[in-house]
Formats: sequence, C-alpha cells, structure tokens
Amino acid sequence: MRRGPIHDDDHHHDAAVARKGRVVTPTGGWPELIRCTTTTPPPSRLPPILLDELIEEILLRIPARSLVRLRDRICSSWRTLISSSQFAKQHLRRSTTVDPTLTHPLIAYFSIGYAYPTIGVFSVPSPVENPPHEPTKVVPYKGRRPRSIIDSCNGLLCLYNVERDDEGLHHGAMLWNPCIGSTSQPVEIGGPFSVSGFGYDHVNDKYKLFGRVYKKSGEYVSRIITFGPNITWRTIEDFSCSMPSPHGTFSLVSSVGIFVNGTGTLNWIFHDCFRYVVVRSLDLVKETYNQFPLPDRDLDDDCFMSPLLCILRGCLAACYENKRTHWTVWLMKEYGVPQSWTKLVVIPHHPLLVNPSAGFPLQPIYIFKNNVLLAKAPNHKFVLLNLNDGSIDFPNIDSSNDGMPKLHPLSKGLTSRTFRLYHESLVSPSHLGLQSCSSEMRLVKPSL
Amino acid sequence: MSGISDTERMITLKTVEGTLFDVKSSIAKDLKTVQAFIDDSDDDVTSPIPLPNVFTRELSRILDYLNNHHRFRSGIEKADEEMARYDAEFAKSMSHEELKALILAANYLNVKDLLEFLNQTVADVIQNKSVEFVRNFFGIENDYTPEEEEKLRNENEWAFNGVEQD
Repeated sequence: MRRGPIHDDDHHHDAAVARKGRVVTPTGGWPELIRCTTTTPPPSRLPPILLDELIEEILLRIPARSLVRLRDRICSSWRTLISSSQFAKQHLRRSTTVDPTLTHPLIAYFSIGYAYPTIGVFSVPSPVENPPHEPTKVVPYKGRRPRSIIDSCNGLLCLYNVERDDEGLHHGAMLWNPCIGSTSQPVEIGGPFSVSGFGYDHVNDKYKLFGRVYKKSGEYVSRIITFGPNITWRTIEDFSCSMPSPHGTFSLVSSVGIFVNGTGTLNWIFHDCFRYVVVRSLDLVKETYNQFPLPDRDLDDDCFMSPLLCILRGCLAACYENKRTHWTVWLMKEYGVPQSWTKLVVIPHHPLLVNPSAGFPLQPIYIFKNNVLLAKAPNHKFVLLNLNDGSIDFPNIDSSNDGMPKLHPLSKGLTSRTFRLYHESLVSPSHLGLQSCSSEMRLVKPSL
Repeated sequence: MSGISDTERMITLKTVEGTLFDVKSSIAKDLKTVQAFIDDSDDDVTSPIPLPNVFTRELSRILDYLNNHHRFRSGIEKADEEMARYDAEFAKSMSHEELKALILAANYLNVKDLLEFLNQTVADVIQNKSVEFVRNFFGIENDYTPEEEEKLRNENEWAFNGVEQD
C-alpha cells in the first residue's frame, strides 16, 4: 500500500508533556496525576493504517447512493466488499433500524397506457430539503421499458415484462435495483397476473413474487415464485377476489398486495359496499391466508369509502374517506393485532384535494419525520400535507425527462401513471443467485 | 473488592512511551479492554496496566473525550448542545492521520461510543469526496489496470455528479 506523508508529531499536546513527580493539568482541566518514569524517546510512528474491519464499519455509515460511487473506483477490494451480499444486508439492516439517512425514498412509476411505455424515477419531494417552488426532476432513464412495476422490497423493484416471439407471448418478472443499476433477466411467470405482490421471506432469506395467473386455458391459478439460482413455482390455495360478508360480498379493492417488512405478509383490502372492510393477508413464509378487521368505526363515521392500504413508518396503514368530509389514517402498530390500530390523523377535505365527480381515495405514500405526509390526492396530484398545522403544498414535479408525450406531464395529475415507493439499497439480484446485468436499465443521474 | 467505592478507585495506565495516566475506575469502565483485564485479574490491580498499542497522544484524547462526556451526562440540563459543540470541536481539532490513529486506539481499547462517533465522522468526511481524496485518506493504492478503470468509468458515468472537488 502506498503510504501517505509521515505525520510529524513531536509536538505532543499539553496533556502528554509530563514532568517527573509533578501534577500536570491536561487540556480538559482534569487533574490527573501524571508521572513520567523512564525517558523512553517517542518511538517513530508509522502512519496509521486502518484495519479492514474498521474500514468496513466506516463504509456501513455511508448512504447507499454515495457507496455506489465509491464502490467501483477506489480499489478492487472495496469493490468486492461493497458488492457483497453480506455488506448489503448489514447496510440494509442499519438503514431500517439504526440510521434512516443511509437510504433515501424515491418514487418509481410506469405508464398504464401501453401506447406510451415509460418508466420514471424521482426523489420523494421533501418539504424541508427542496427550495420552495423548485421542481423535483424525474431522472432520465436509459434501457428496457417493462410493462409495469409490480412493487418494491428492500430497494429491489419487481417488474413485469411481456415479450413476443415466434412461440407467442412470454410473461416475465425481473428485478431491478435502480440505485446500483443491476437487473436480473426476466423469469417466466406463466401468464399475466390479475392479483400480485412482491416481498421478502425473512425466515428463508428469499424474495418471493405472488401472482394469481390467468392461464391460457382460461383458468386462474395462484402461485408463489421464489427467486434464486433455481426459480421455483409453488401453487397455493387460490386467492379469491370475492368473499361472503355479513351483508353480501366482499370484493377486492386493489390488486397489488402491500408487503409489510419483517412479517413476510402481503396484504389486501376487501370492501363490502354496505360499509364493512377487512384485510386479507398472505403469509409468504407459511403460504397461508389470514384475515383481520380494520379498526372499529367511530360512531359518527357512517362508512368506509375508498379504503386503501399502504406502509407508513414501517407499519401497515389504512386510509379511508368518511361522509365526504374527511379522511382518516390508521397505523397498525403491531402487525396482525387488531387492537393495535391507532388513529394517526384525520385529514379534512380541502377544495384543492377533492375531485367533485368521484370518491377517489387519498393515497398516503410517505411520512416525513416532521409529520408531513406525501400523498396522492383524488385529483391525482401529489400533495404534501402538514399534519401538524393542516397546511397543504403541491410539490412541482418536472417529468419532461420521462419520454411521455408532452400531453401528459406528471404535474397535470392525470391518471396515466402508477407510482411505487422504494428505498435505496445495495441489494443486488446477484445476491439472490440470479445472473445480474448492469447495463440493461440505468438511471442517468443528475446530482440526486 | 476493596472497601473504597468504585468512583474513587484509580487505575494506572502506561502508554507506549512510558507515560503513566491515573484514571478513575468509572472512566476505566468505558475502556472495555482495560476493564476486561481488571475483571480477569484475581487480585486488585495495583501496578500500571501496560497498553503496548496505545500512544500518549491518543490516550490523552480518549480520556479527554470520556471525561467530558461523563460530565455532560451527569444531569446538567443543556448538556446536549454543549456535547454536540464539544464533539464538533473534538473532530475538527485532529488531522486525518490523528483521526485514524485515534480510531485504532479506540478500537484496541474498545471504547464503543467514541469509536461510533469517530467512524461516523470519517464517513461524513469521505462520502462526497473525490476518488483521489478517499485513496489518500486511507493510504490505498489503485490496483485497477487502465483498461478496467476505463470500463468502470464508462459504466458509472452517471454517479460522479455532485461530488466535491478536492
């Protein structure tokens, strides 16, 4: 290793200059009796070289996006370390449990009109960081354009891809980590999904994709696809999109299950038009279904309208509209325990948020530490809601980089895009035993 | 154990240069390596504990840090602000070489909180610096061939915006 210049440290700090038998007060003012016995001259000191494990501890404290830059350029051993599965897992654990600033939340979206296939990514507009009225820019993107983004987990996006060849249509799923730029090759899933979800089995350390597949035969089958060096399919009990309720039938509200990290579950809301709501969950580890209720309605709530699930502060959260006057957001502080549903906030209807012609839901996306909630309003615009003082701000998102025709800028709030939140991580498809490629899908980053 | 209460007991530590430091046992507890040595000894430790890997400059800084942090934690109200200011000054007062030397000493002595602080300090310093700066800081030699470097540079072109100049 090349050495830096040897530091001249003949000048000790006061503390160390000791005299025989005298009490010397060092810099901090702590009177410690210091006695100098032998007259050993200070040995010549080589410049300190940090041990590998100490360097690793330092690198674990650097945000994912900065590590990506350092990974490939410093030296080959740093590349090996930062690219390793072990390091990525430790970094992920630190970013979720110790220091959230090690990662950043971003939003990836795709267009649902097939005429304009597009993928876009932008930073979650922060109420604090962005100078007011400066737009958040969608990051330019190069590469393959899959049909949709199923969901994200631990920084990996699971994408749905359709390809046609002589044999017909191939429906595939692929994994993409936009932060490190790696993708896996599409994996055959057997048909389009009507219901789906993507999550992590923490017991077996496997990423799994659930789908209710519409087969060529016209039948539906529910299966769990496990990513790994050998992709496995497991057929499970069919996911029913409607179930009997006390007053009729529960129907599925949204087709993508919400994954709750640490529980291994995907969760869907079922809604009965006579005002009952229930959550149905699939345990990816045990491959079993379960269900539990939403919180009991307050007496003055006559109904749950437009109920939605999401993740806030790491917990399963539910949001629904009441009486056309306000929305209520609940957090399930202890997953699976209905008594732990805690009311987070009541958000009154605001003329700027409401779309008078429909009962579309308020979709919470991310909540900042200072209690500002980023949500998608019924008019499809992004909104920052300050839960402390009730103020509302519409962040300006500039989507001119995403390749969609100028007719559909994101700021106009049309329904043409579907959004998924993800958090940056170093988890690579190669860590899952998949072949990983670094040039298929790349964000061309301006300084993020 | 002797009849003297723990806070009064003094432990003597000897650095590489032979300098002796008398340290209160309540402070010595934070030097987990030292504490382990004391715990393992059958009798009370009376002779100076030699620290063959620790130089006077580092031990002095470590004790300064610990003494101050003990003082901040002992119930004074506005201590958080004072502590933050102290920490910032403490980090700023060291050159990069001194910082690394202190990390090595804190690691050897197993001073958890200080090591955590120093690791975070270095992480904050290097994260947006140029490749040259980072290599220099750690004394790392570039072991890529020019071809490898070129290839990696092209692949990661997007990653270098927003980086501070040296």
